[in-house]
Order: sequence, then C-alpha cells, then structure tokens
Amino acid sequence: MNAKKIGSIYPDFKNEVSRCPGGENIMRCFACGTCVLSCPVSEVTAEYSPRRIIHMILLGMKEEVLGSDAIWYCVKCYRCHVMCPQEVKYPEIIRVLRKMALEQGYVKPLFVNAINEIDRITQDMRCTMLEQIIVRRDSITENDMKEISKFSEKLDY
Amino acid sequence: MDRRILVIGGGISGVQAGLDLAQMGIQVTLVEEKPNIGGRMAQLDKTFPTNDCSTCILSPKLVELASHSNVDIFTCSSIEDVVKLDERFQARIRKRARFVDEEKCTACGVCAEKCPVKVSDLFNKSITTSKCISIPYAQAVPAVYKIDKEYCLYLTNGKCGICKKVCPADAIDYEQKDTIEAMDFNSIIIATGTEEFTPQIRPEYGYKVYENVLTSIEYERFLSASGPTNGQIVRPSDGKLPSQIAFIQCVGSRDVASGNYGYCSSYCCMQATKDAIITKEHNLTIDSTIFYIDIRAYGKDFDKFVDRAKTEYGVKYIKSRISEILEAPDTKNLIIKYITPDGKIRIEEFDLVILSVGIRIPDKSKNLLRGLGVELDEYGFCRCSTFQPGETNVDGVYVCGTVTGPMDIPEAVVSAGAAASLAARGLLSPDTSSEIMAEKPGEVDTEAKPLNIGVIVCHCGTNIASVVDVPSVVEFSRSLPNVKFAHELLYACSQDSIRLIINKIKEHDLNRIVVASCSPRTHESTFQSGLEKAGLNKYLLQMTNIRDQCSWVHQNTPELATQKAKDLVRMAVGKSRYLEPLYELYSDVNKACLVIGGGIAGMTAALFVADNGYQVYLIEKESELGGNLLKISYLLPEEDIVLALQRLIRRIEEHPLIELFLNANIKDIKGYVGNFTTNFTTNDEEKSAEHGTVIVATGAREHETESYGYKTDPYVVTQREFETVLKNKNPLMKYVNSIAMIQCVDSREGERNYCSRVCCGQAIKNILQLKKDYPDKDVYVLYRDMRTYGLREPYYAVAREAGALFLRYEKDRKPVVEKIEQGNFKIKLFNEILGKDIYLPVQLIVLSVGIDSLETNGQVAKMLKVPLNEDGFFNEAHVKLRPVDFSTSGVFVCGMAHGPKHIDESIVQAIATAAHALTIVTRDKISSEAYTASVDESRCSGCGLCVEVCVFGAIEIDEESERAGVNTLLCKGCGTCVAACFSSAIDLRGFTNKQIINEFQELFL
Amino acid sequence: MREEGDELFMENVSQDFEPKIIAFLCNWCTYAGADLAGVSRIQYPSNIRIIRLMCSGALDPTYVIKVLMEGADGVLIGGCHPGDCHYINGNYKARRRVAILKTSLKEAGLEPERVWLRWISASEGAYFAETVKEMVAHLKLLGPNPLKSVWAI
Repeated sequence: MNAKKIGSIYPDFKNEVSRCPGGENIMRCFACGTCVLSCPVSEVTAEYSPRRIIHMILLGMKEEVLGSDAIWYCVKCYRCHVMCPQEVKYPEIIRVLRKMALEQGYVKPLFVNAINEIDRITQDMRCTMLEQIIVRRDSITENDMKEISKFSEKLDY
Repeated sequence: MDRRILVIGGGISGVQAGLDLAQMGIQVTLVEEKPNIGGRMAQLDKTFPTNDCSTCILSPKLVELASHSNVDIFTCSSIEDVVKLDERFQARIRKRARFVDEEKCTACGVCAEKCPVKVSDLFNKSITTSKCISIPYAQAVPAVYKIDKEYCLYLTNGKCGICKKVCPADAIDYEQKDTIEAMDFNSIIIATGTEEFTPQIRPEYGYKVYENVLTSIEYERFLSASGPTNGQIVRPSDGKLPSQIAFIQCVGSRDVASGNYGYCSSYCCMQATKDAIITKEHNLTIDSTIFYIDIRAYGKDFDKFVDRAKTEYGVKYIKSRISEILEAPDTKNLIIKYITPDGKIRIEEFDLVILSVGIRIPDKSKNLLRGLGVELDEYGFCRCSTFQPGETNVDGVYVCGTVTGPMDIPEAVVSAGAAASLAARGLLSPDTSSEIMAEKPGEVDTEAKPLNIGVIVCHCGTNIASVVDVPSVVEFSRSLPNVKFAHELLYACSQDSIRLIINKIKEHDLNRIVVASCSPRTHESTFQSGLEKAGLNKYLLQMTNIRDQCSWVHQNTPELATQKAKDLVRMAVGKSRYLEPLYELYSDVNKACLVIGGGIAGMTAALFVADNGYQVYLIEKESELGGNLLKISYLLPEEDIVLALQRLIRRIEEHPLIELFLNANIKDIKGYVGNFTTNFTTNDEEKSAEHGTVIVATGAREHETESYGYKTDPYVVTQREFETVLKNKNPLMKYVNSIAMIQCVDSREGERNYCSRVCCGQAIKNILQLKKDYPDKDVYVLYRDMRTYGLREPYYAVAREAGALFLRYEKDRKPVVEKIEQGNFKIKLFNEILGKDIYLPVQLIVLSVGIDSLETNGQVAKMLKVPLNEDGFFNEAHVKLRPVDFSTSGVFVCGMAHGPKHIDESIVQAIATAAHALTIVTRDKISSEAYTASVDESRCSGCGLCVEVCVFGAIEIDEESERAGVNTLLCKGCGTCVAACFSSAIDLRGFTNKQIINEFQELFL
Repeated sequence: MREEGDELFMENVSQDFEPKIIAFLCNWCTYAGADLAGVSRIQYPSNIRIIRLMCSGALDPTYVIKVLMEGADGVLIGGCHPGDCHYINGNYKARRRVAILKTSLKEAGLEPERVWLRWISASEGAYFAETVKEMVAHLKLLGPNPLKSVWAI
C-alpha cells in the first residue's frame, strides 16, 4: 500500500483525482503544453499554467495544489479540453480541486462565491465594453484603442 | 501446378516482395490501384538520413520488377473478390480501362500537350493541374498514359477526340472496357499501405483555410526537382521565397482526441528534419524551426542526422506542441504561439508552415482486408505477433509494409522480404532452377570477319523526325567507313521493326549494330534481344541518344540538332568498331548456407532457409542457442518467450537440414558468392564447411556502464536485470516503494552518439509488468525523448495511466543520484515545469544503458570483406532499399549485428535475410555482369592500387603471379579501377579505353 | 561561375565562336538527368556531345587530357551526388581525380575552368540544362581552346 505521505508528497493524490468524475484522464498527460498555449488566462498571466497544476498533481504536491491561488484562475472556457490530444479534462479537474479545497478547509464557502461572482462580473464588464465599441464600429479610431488599454489601469481593485 | 503469388499493392513493400519472389523463381502477379507503381516513395523528394534522391533509388527497383519475366503487373486494377478453394486462392482482378493501349503507348506526351481539359494533379497532391490524359510523373512505371474518364470530353459527351487524332502510335482506345481476370494463386501478400491524415481533423491548424499551410507530402512535391514548381520553394499565397518555415509535428498522431489515432507514425520527425536540411541546401536564407513533443530519431544514424541539422544547418528544435495557428490577414504569414519547456510563452511569425501529418489505414483497405477475413486492430492495422511476423489469422495470407503498422522505408523493405519468404515456403526445392532461359539461337562467330556495321536511325514518330533530318543522317551514316547498311525506321522498337532489323542483319551479314534513337535506358534490352534472335551477341549493340538528348532539347535549332545527330552517330560507329562479344559468366552455386550466430535472428534465418529445403550450417560461439533472448523475461505484447525459444531450439536440433556447431570459433572464410569455404573449430575440433551464402547474425551486447553507481550498488540495475528481478519475484522488492528509471544512460552523446532504439519500449514494457505484479509501487521515468515509436506509443499511454510519472531532463542537466545508504537514494532532478530542482526518494534505480556492438565484429567484417559503421555495427549496402544486403554479393545480415532493434524487428529481418539468401541458393548457376573488368597481365605491375580502390572486394593480387586478378562474379562493372591504373593494365569490358577514346576521337576527324 | 561584368563582356565576344563540349556522364545519375531534361523538353544549346560511362569513377583523367588536346573547348563530367553513387563511392574518386587534374592542367598552361565536374542526379533535368547553358556561356567568354592554334602537335 502506498504510504499516504512521504515528506511533503502525497503519492496517492493523482489517483484520488483520477477517481473523481472528470478526473479520469489526468494521468494521460504528457506535458506537451497545448493547454497553456490555448489558455486565455495564461496569455495575460505568465504565472498561470494548467500544465504546471497537472504536473504538481502527478507529483503528489497535494497541499501546494489545494492551497494554491492558481486553481481559482480558470475561467472554464474549455479551450484546453478541446485541444488536448490526450483528452485530459482540465476544467473538470479544476472543479474537483476546488471542491476538495473547500471540503478540506483551504477556503471558505464565501470565497468560492466571490470567485463565481468575479467571473460573472468580468463577463458583464466585457459585454459592456463590447457594446460601447460595437456602436462605434464604423467610426473607430486609434484613440479608441488607447481608451481600451486605459481600462486595465482602472481595474486596481 | 503453377507457382503463383498475388501481391496486392505496388508501393515499396509490394514491389520488394514481388522482386524477392521473382528472384526465387516464383511467378508474381502484382495488383496496384493507381496507374503507376512506386507508391508514396515516388512522391518524396529525398530520403533520410542520406538525402538520396527518392526516385533515383526507387526507379531501378520499379524497372527491374516490371521487366522481370516472372512478374505480371496490373495497374489501374483492384481486387473484385477472393475465394479460397482447395488450398488455393481464386481471385478476380478488375483491370479498369485506361483508354490507352499499354502495348502501343510510347509515352511521347503529344496527347497531353493537345488535350484541352485540365484536371487536378493527384500525384502532385492537387497543387497543380495536369491534363485529362496524363502520366503521373516522367519516370512512371509503366510509362503509359491514362484518360480520366470523368472529365474526358469524348468519353462523357462524344466531343473532342483530339488525343486519338494526334497519337502517333495509335494507342488511344475509347472503346476500352474494364476487364475482369480470374486467376488462382498459392498465397496472397497484402501490401496495401496507408494514406496520410487529412489535417482537417485538427482544423485549428488552418489547413485549406490559410494558404501558406501545407502538409509534409505537399512540401515534398514543392522540393522535388520534378515537382510542380521544379524544386522552387514558394509560398502559395504570393509565390515569394519564404524566410522562416515552421514544421509542426504530430498532426493527427499521438492524438486520441481527434479520432483514436493514439499511435505514432514513426517517420515524421525524421522527415521534418530532412526537409529542413534540404530547404537550407536549396537556399541559405531560409530558416526552419521544428515544433515537437518527442524527437523520434531512433534508427541507424538518425540522431547524428538530427545533430547535423542543428549544428550544420541551423535548424531550431523547440519542444512544444502547437495548439493553434493564426494568420496575419495582410501578409498571410502564420503566427505561432509556443511554450518553452520552462514555461515561457513566445510568439513567432512564419511565412510558411508545414504540418507533419501521420498515416492511417484507409477505409477502402479495411474493407478489402476484412473481406479476406483478416483481423484488424482498433486502428485498422493488421498487427502480427512477435514470433510470427508477416502472418495473419488466415492461412496463406501474408502482410507487409505499413498495413501492419507505421514504419519507415527500410522496415517496409525488410517486412516485404519476410512476407516473400513466408509466401514462398513449400514452393521451393533444390531441383528448381529459377532462371527461365529462353532458347537462344547459336551465336555467329564475329571474330575473324570484316567489320560490317549496320546503322538504324529512328524517327520515333515525329519525336525525332520533326527536328532532326533523319534521311540526311542515314545518308551520312552510309558514308562512314565500315558501315555496310543504314536505314531509317518510323519506330525502331516496334515488333515489325525488330523483325526487319533481324532480317537485315542476316541479309547483309552485319556484325555490329548502331541504333540512333531514344535513350538506351528505354529500349536497350529490346534491341539486344533482337540481336540475339539474329544470332549476334547482344553486346554488339551500340545505341546513341538522338531523342532525349538531341531532338527533344534542341527544338529551335533543327540544323544544329541534325549536325549533332550526325556527330552522335559517328561517335557510336566509332565505338562500335571496337565492340566485342561479351558473356555473362556462370558458375555453380553451392546450395548450402552458413549462418553465423545462434540468437533469435540466426535461428530464425536458419530455420527459414532449411524449411525451404536447403542445407544450413549454424555456427554459435556459446555452448547453447538463444543469444540475448535467453536473458529477456517479457515481451510486449505478451508472449511466452521460454516456450517460443524451446520450440525454436528443438526445431533446430531436430531439423535434418541444419547442422549445428556450438562452442564454435571461425578461423577464416574464403571464397565468394556461390563458393565459400569456412574453416572453424567447434568444441576444439577442426571443421570445414562449403556453402554458397553467408548470413551474419552475430548480435550485440548490453552496454556496460559505470554511471549512477551501477557497479557499486545492488539496487542499481539495468532494465534487463530488472526484468529478472520481476520474473523471480526477487525479495528485494519488499523494500522498494519507489523506482526511478533513467533513460539514455551513456547514450546519445560523446563516443556513443547513437540511440539504442529499444530502451524506451523496454522501460514501458517493464513498467506495465511491474504494475501488474506490484500495482502500488511508484515509478519515475527520467527521459530525454520518449521513443515509443509506431504502435508502441499506445503502450506509453497505458504506462502513464497506470501512474508512472515521466520527467524530462536535458543532456546538459542530468539527474544526480545521492546515495543515502544501500537501497536508499535521493535523485536530484531539475524539473523544467516547476522551474526548480526536485528530489525523488527511491529505493531502486533502473538504468536504460543501451546496446553496444561486439568487438569481434571487426574480425568477421574483415573475413567477409564487409564494412562496419562508426559505432561498430555492420553497414548494409543501402540504408533504405537494401537493409539486409552487403555490397559484397552473397553475404547478408540480420538482427542486432546490423544495429539495435526490438525482438520482433530482428525476427522480421531474419526472415527477409533468409529470402535473400534463398535467391542465391535456389539457382543452379550464378551469373556475373557482362561488363566486368579484366587485367592484361603483361602490363600489370602488381601495385595493388586497383585492389584498394574496389569497394566490392572483386580484385585480388594473386600470390604466385603477383598480378591483379578480377573475380568476375563480384565485379559490378563501375570502371573505377580502370581509371586508377597507372599502367592501363585493367580495362572494363563494354567500356574499354579503346572504345571510349575512339568514341570521342571521331568528333575531331 | 559568373564573374562581374560578364554581361557586358558577352556582347564583345565573337558571335561566331561556338564552344565544343564533350561530356562524360555517369549512367545512373547524370545521363538519366539529361534524359529527364529531354522528357521535360527543357531546351539547351546543342554544343554538347555526351559519352556514357557507368560511373564518374571510371573517368580516366587521360580522357580529359586527350579530349582537350584534340581541341575540345570544354569537358563536363557528371556524376551522382556524394552519397548517392550506385557503386558506393566512385564519385568521390572522380572528385579527387578531377581536382588533381585541374592542378596539372594549370601547370601545363591550360585553363582549368574548361573542365567542369558537376553532381547532377536523375531527377535534376532542369539543372542539367542549366549547366549546359552556363558552360556554353562561360566558354564563350574564355574563348576557343588555345591548344588548337598554339600547340604544334
């Protein structure tokens, strides 16, 4: 029987995840990098890497994974899922990890609500911005591009 | 009863199988769907790792097959149905109408010139168009045109009909119908091959949406000098030269998500490397980048090829699969985002992207195979078991080539040899002579007579006559000294023309014939057989090329072309004055075979030769048979090795035609093909054997390493030793929770700069066995590239799913093993994904050390006059198309003596080698080339320069006379020795110094 | 091969001089390449006369010397690309021999640029035609073989 914990490693963690619905294919990953390249979050945040999360799970770094910030960044766009050549279902794995993190006390329920709310609000903000640009579709100028970039400055929460 | 075998498929493996069978004296019917044979190999520009021109190495095989008297080729044909009746197969073959008469068509091309309809050129992957009546490419075999009936105006609408009007040979036949021919066969060889993936399975790569995205095979057509752009590399969107090219690997392959293609297509990594190198050779300004997951450079000299690409040609290799490709709308450049192994995302722009698409079994093939009752695997391949390669579940139906699994050209050629050998089983016997010697009338003695030269000048319809003034060339010929007869003919090669030539030879007592027409490479044998029928030695013919090398290329200067034709005739007449009758030498063949080495390869080869009724002497240096296989415990897919070995060994010991010598040591091997004598000792007794061929199956050995503490710790073992640990359920496993496997130990760098091919597969095999017996133990595999190529790739996925963890390391950052105590280690490994060192606590370390060549190979090589490569393995005649032969005739190689390989690969190669050995021993006599060198002893000083220069080992200095002597049976007639000799003592029959000098001196008279 | 100012020079050369080129081509590669040029109907000047050898390795340098002494303006030797030789490495020997020959020619006062060694494969019909064109143009610049007029043989 596998030791439950060796040093800080939980060798059985990957089996735990793969036993959950949606996590079945996690061990198929051969670290090709497709998920990182297709991820819209990785595009703007260099530190976020779905590949790294999967790798940490496979290495048994349970505490680091469940306690990480990273697992809360996924927007569940499913692009990685579509493109992965080995049918690893990363968004489903994130679902599993978030549940585990909640159940094992790494986060509070209110935190999970906050994350979901942010996802909804940012989508709402995106739609608002889109509406404003779309009405100006015929008369768009370079200045509008500048205005769009200024938005990111305003987002210092 | 007729011994006839059906080969379905005319790609390289079908062609090779056909050739091997024909040379064993068996009738072959080859059925090919396309209008030409040659398959995909005919579409390639060059082949790796030597960058040989693909058509150049393929065409001789195609021509040989097509002209072999034992072979019938049906192109544009398919199998209607097959029924098994009383041990024989009755097949109905549908020959689809070409609407062109194969007997009459001379491939002159006038029809295509005039045809008004353009169609997609399929041979050139639809990059360009061809005419509705067309030939796939210039050197196509058969060289016959074909009408695409769907687009032909006459066949669909009754309009046009131009091609028929202009065809000078009257070869167009609109009335031609499909015919069905019923034939029966002893057995069937399936060589139907594969098709490339359509990249639309991964639409995110933009194929057919972005203009500048091509597939690898399309790019081959661009690179090919005879392709649609004449070898110019151009961007499809604007015709400009690209400067940055990206190759995307694994498109479709290793991809279960896009449709169950979880296997590896085996050749694409090398193809991309080759294309990147050729691209650089075409134009120094073009840079290439290859995006890959693992580089599968597993074969002989493959790693060296990749290294050269990196260092000499500046090819960049980036380990990153590509998720999608975007197009810059204004420039139509492609934008690729990639990730470095340490996680940095980069974006680069390329002007051209090549998708390395893999291969799969077409649905059509699956239907044909299932119709024959053949079982297919989940991908549609017809996989064979390790110890019965080439055999299917249906008796008498064999398979070879990529229909059994993705593979490269040498493997396809070898598997074809094996299939031929299997199909020929029971059809050969020592009484069979494989030469069909047609009746030749007695030769006229031409020695003493006066020289009577006959000159034939051909019109070739209008091909020659429209540019060259043929009548004036004939008149000119008459004026030349010794020319007794000169004549013009419309088509010199036609049956009635040949009859006329024969009559004129007899009538005018001609004893030298000059034919001024097309290339000798086209019709030399036709005219030669004409001479023979007329009672003349066939080598008294001299052809001169006034078509391909005159009328066709000087169309705008007819007077100059005519003058040139006259010069060429004059030159040919000049040479013909000195032509002499030449004869192939025949010598008796000793019908026994010597096999050196009693491992799995040697035993397999020995049994095959013996099963076909020929004597085998099997020599083994150890005290038992089995070689390295004795130390292997498991196979993937599973097989009972012990049982298989026992069976083989028993068969060998009991076989009436195999004489086995154990504890043997070879003293020397003398002789040449058909006539070898080997002196050896066995159990300290001196013996001698006489035989006609030699099969080298001396094997190889596991590398002895000193790395990672191997020698000093019982818990550091090799993969092979680990198998034994598992097999014996070694109690040390009780103390082991985690295992680390380290790949590429002492390999792929420095002195051992080659890949041992088997280690990644072996690691996977051992992991799967481990997980069966000890499911809870952890495994870490530390690798540089995982080389589970072909159908081994799905097992890699199974290993990952079983929980094995694969961690990559770079050559310059190897894992460091810290020994805490015996059986307790901490391995430091730099983990690229985490960007930091990680420490793996393990209790057992398994090293993939790879394979070394035997030191004794040098002695054997010297005795047999065969070469070794840099790494000490035997060097075959040609790495692609002759992987079991040596340049030296009559000597063959199989198994790990040739290079590291998997057990099933060794077995296939051994059977193929047996087939080649059989092509020698089935003959009563072996013939030499007619064009061989000969020594004028009065001029020879015995300096030995010719001996050094001859790569075929055909010249020796006679000890007594101290003069050079040529072994006509080994001489290939290249003439290199002739040019080397300072004394002009050695000359080449058929191309003698006198002949050549007179040939050009005629021009200056 | 082309030097600067060639185009200008070309106009000044006597238009009457047509160089005579003798070619020794290997059967398996260059001869087949020349055939392919024909099959593809690629036009090139008719100054060339081809002699077929089995291998470029059979090219005895004596032939080249004899041909030049007879008055040929240029000699083309065609063989397989390195690594492709039908007889394994005959072409390597040809390369070495031609290199030494050219040095000897230079010593003898004859322009070594009259002797060309090119690797042309069976699939390079266009390249063969190009080679002939280039050689004719180049020899027109070099002028006729001086042996014809200068040497009293």
